[in-house]
Amino acid sequence: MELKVIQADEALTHVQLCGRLDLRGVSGIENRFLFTTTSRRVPVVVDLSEVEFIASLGIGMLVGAAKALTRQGLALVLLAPPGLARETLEVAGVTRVVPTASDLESARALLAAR
Amino acid sequence: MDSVLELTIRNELEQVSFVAERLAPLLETWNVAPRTAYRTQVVIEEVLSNVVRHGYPDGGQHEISVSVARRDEGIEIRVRDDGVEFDPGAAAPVDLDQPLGERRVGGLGIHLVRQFVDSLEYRRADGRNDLRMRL
Repeated sequence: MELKVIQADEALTHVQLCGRLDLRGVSGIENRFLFTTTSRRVPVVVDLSEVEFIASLGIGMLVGAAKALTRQGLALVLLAPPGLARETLEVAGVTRVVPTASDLESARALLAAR
Repeated sequence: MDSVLELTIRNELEQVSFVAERLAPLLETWNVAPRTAYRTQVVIEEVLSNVVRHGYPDGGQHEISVSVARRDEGIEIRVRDDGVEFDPGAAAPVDLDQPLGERRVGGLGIHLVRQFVDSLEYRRADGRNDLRMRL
């Protein structure tokens, strides 16, 4: 599991997760992910396009970050989860409460609308 | 033709990852459809991690038996453990209508299991949980 920081400035934190968000993958990046996404007090885009697998621990990490940002009056948008990962997020009810976009332009538009 | 993975692991989270790493390439070798293979991996991770996390509140080393079989009609999973009695099919449902701020993550793994399997049979016998699932 890899966490890449694409953008981190005064306007946006944009990170990309690559690999498997399973037990091992989450334990390797969770602290850094939560710090990177929730400590800067700006809106967040999490690119999931390279996530091969996600289970409840990974979902919990994403929801935890989204909840922390909500408490700060900020939003987190999930970007481009691949088919089966997206299906898992839908079954888990995540897409009902965390906005999800298919491309970066749409993600920025969702953040701007909040 | 049937193909089977049978393992006995210790009640440690690292051992759950060990099963996942053995299972993923096998499902590909068995030519399991991508959605079924994906769901099988989710179910295995959720069931085993649930047993390890919650099955042994008093600690100690225990063994968990897991088998995953490719049958003509699909995937058959069986997990047996001597942890505390727990029927995933009888667990309280997760409230997916809760707003984000009130959303609890606990129980989500079992929710995924129940959504992803076609059938789930549980029995408790001789002090052991015996869970059979089909996808």
